[in-house]
Amino acid sequence: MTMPFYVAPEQVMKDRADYARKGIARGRSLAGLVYDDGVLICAENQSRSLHKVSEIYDHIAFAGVGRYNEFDSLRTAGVRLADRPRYS
Amino acid sequence: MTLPSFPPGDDPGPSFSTLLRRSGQEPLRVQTETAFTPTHGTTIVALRYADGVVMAGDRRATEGYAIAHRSIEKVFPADRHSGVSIAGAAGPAMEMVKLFQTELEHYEKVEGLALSLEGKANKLGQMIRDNLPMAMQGLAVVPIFAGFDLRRQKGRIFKYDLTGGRYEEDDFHANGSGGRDARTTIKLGWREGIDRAAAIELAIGGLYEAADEDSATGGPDVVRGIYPTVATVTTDGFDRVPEDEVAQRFTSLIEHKREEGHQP
Repeated sequence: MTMPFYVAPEQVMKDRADYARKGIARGRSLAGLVYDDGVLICAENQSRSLHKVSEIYDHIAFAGVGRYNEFDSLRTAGVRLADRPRYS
Repeated sequence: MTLPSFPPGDDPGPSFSTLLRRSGQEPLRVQTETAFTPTHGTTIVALRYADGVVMAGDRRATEGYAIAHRSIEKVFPADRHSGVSIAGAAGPAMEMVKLFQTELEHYEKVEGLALSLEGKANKLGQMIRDNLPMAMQGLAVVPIFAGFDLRRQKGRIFKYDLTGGRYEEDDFHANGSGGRDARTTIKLGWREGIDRAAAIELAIGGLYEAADEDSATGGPDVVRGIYPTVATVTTDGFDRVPEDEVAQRFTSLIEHKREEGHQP
């Protein structure tokens, strides 16, 4: 049985934070703010086909920056999670 | 709470029905061993006019020779620019409409764009085909799908058979037990480019004649104030015609019949 190398827990957390930070370091800005009637989401996007802001359910929106495939699979999972109970 | 995520080979994609199946739910499936009489929805009509389509349906549901319900709804919005009306076994039909509405919205959200009108019509065809085992048990659902095609800028009507076959009708269609009478009435009055008022009059005229000939089709119920459901689908979207307007048009239709000498 092989034993994994010992890595300090602080180092593990730092590595994870670095990994996440690197993922969004080159992403274009996204802002979300609350106002009187609801929330406003605004994002820079140069692509016509890849959407940063989208709908999860009637009153729930989603916006993300970073690696597209990663936040898109999170978004799709959110849509599925919201739609499934609506039918059953 | 865990997020519904699937390995790449099992990913349901934008299909909501497949998502349900992958999650262990089988939509539209009832297993019956004994024969029974389900509740049936009856006559529905759809016709094309200058601005789009008019859809209408009577309000009666039957169980054999008995009236099961007097004010059932048979015309529903499918999404912003399309509608679906149902004839056949009422329970599975309602479930199919609910599934279809969710399916269209789910697709639009996952993919980021709506299906074309033909794509939506195909999707409904698949759902009817999936329902074939139930249809063989006597729970047949035969809807009419109609909508405004934003690409072609015109109204379009699709009819179906039990096996999910999808056929586009050029101008009008009627279905259900009184469908034949309604269709004949509409056929005699339909003209290319008729306006909204004439189209609604024709639709309710068709339903009136169907109710006159077919016991399973409900006519205007002036005592209870129940009138057929009428809706239009145009470039502005799906829009229910207010019940007052439908009632008024029925009143003038009946007056017109009296003037012509028909006995009430």
